Amino acid sequence: MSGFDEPRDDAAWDASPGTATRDWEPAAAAVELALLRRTGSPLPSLPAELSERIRRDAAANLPRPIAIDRSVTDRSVTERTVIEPRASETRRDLSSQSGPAGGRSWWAAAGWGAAACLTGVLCWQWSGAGRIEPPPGGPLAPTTETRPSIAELRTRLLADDPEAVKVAWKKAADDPAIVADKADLEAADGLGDVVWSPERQQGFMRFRGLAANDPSVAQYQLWIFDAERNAAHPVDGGVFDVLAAADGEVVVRIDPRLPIRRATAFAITVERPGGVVVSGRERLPLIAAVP
Amino acid sequence: MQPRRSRIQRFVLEDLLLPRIAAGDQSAVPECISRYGGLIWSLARRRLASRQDAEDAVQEVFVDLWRSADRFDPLVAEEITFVAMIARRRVIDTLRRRTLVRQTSAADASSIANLADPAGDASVGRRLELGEEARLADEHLDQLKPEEQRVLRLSIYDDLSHGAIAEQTGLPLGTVKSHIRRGLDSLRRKLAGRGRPQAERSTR
Repeated sequence: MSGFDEPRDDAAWDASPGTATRDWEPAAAAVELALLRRTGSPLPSLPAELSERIRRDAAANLPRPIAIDRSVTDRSVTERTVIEPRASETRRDLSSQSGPAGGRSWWAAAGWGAAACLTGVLCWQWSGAGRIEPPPGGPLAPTTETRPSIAELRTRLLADDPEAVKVAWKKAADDPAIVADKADLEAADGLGDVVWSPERQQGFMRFRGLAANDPSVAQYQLWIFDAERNAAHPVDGGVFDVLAAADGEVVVRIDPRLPIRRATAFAITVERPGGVVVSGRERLPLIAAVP
Repeated sequence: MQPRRSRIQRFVLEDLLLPRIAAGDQSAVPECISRYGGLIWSLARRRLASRQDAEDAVQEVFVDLWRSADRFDPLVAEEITFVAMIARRRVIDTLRRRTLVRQTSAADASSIANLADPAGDASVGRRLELGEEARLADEHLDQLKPEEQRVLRLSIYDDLSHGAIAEQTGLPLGTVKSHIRRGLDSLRRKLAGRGRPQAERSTR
């Protein structure tokens, strides 16, 4: 007997009809599924009465739902959402608050006014881009500006941390949230990218061709897969909004609530306002896998 | 042949239900029953002669699923494989407890559609859709020698003891054990290798 490990429990092995040790249970289950499929027979339906009984009993055995603390998630929308349109886009966005830029928004146009106002506020808060530009070289030139833009912070992170990784977003599914043109879709990083520093636990997401959302209807949510955590429960990277023009470029700061030991992938879902604890992934437009 | 995906890609691209169950999401319950009910029912009915025993076993399988959903890890197994594993464990336990006559005739696979109490099973569901792991198992079976394949089938699918398999096939008991161990262990290694990025890249 060589070439493979002995089962841990020979007595159990000898007595066990149809199963080996627990190490081999997934393989045994896969074999049974394959053999079941080979029969060519369709599966019988679960009797309706039994199905109803199981459904009724489930409530007593399901884990208690994890409550979402609305005060926390609402605050996170404000504190954690960082939007950085390109300078040229910013000027255009701020000057066109009366309607969706380019007509490409996939959320209700009714929310655009509020969205555009919030865009202005956030851009003002984070980048100073919404301020009235002083004349070049004039006495009010922004020489006293101390807060770097999000885009600058991203560039600095890439320059300062050789361990920082950069991976491109890929379209995970056809979704109305992706409004990129054909050229962007075909380009290697046409949809933007993720920059992540494991050491600093900081990162930035850059998006191109991601549609603007109405935060009162839905928000984008980031999920981070950590090789050292259960992949069924990726780390919640927080919710964010894209309030600028759909064809602009936005940069969003990554601020995970848990330490990420080894990021293996980043995924964006579209969720209800405030985000969810577990995503149903009904809408998952983008994914970036770390090689 | 569908392109193979890494397990993380599968998690994000496929509509998994057990993580939602683990989070207490009640809306996932009917979906879970709808998706896996037929499979679990067929696994139970293949083995348990009594319809009542099969119903009890299926209920227990679902309770096991609700309670162990948080242990599901897509890096270890696909959701359908996990469900089949839980179901096999529970149904085989029931079989042992009740010491009922096993449906050895289930080796005739067409018996699935001809279960007892046809009135209750008249509603035939959809064809089983295999996950990647079961497809890999299917390929693996094809690569085995006919004798090895038969032994594995008698053990996994027909639940025969090693002694009964030896008796039925005329093979020495040691050979029966060896075939089963070797067959399962090599498949286990293949399944484990599927989740590694390196292996994933090499399949593209």
